[in-house]
Amino acid sequence: MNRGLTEFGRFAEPTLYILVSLSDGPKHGYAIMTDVEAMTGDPLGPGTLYGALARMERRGLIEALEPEERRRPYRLTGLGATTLRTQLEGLAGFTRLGLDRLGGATG
Amino acid sequence: MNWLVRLYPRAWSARYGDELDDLVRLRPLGIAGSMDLVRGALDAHRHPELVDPWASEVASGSPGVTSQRLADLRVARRLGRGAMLGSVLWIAGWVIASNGPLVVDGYGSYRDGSAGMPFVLLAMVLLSAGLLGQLVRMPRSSRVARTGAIAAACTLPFFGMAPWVLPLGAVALAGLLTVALGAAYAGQWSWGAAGALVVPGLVGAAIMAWALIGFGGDRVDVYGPIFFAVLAFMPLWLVVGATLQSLPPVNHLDGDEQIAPRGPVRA
Repeated sequence: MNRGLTEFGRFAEPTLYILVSLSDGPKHGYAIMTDVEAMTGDPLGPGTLYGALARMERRGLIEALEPEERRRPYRLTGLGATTLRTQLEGLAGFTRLGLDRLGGATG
Repeated sequence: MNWLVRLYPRAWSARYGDELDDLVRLRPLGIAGSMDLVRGALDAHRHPELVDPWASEVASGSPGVTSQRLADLRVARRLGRGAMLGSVLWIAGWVIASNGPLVVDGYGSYRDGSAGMPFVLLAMVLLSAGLLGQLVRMPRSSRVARTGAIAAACTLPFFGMAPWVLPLGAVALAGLLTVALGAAYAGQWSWGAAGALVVPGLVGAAIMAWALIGFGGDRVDVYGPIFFAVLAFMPLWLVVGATLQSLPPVNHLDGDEQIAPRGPVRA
């Protein structure tokens, strides 16, 4: 699916969701979790969320901001934004291809 | 803190524990969430590099360190922990050996210490492992220290199998002293750490020599002085192990090799 995120293993898909969630501004863990649930309909488990956040932070896709009490917001880095754009464009191309083929088969 | 959050490794908790605990407090976990958290804790134990303080220190201090070099340093650190455990086995071995059944032969009496020998052998093997860790950690330019480490690491297991063959012990001790002094001279160890190995090593050797020369008669009498030597030697394991627990100086992190910039961390 996302060649640039394949090294994240089972965290590739949550990583993409988190990147999308952070694309409109910084959020802390709980806000990301509720946002992803609103986007996908499925809750993101806390272990999966922080497993993905740790990998993203290590890879430089996101950066942590100063904590607000016990909550630490995260924001996209330039690399994170570029990676998200690449992933979404790849998915958009794949979606167009699939729809074209489906249209050809049924039309 | 939620008890499931406590399942995470200490370094992970230090970095993400408060946030994770806050999140769990805001949103009750349920069965699926609890299982996800346990799975996340297992993943965190499998991938300590994600929050490893070593990695963070290296990232800020030296951008040219490969993840392979970091992995090697972690192996060296584990070998160092083994070496420190060896100090306990070393003492245990001699306590057991010196309390073995009394045997009287034509030359006097002695304790049958065979029950303690496996402990002594394992202690020597673990000290060898620590020295292998030093070999991994030290750059190739630290030739003196590396030569001493190789000599001692090769000799110690044989000495552990036959601790009455004192020349083997002497070669091993000389190797260890060479490691300490060579590493301090090369800037790999502090002089304090080197002294913490060299002084007890020499004191232990002097006590051992005095005990063996001065108590030539009834061999049971020698156990007391020898045990002081055994205690004096204990820091050898501790210093070899403890010096592997911290990062090498940043300019030695790459092992003197020209290496590519650090690649992405694999999940």
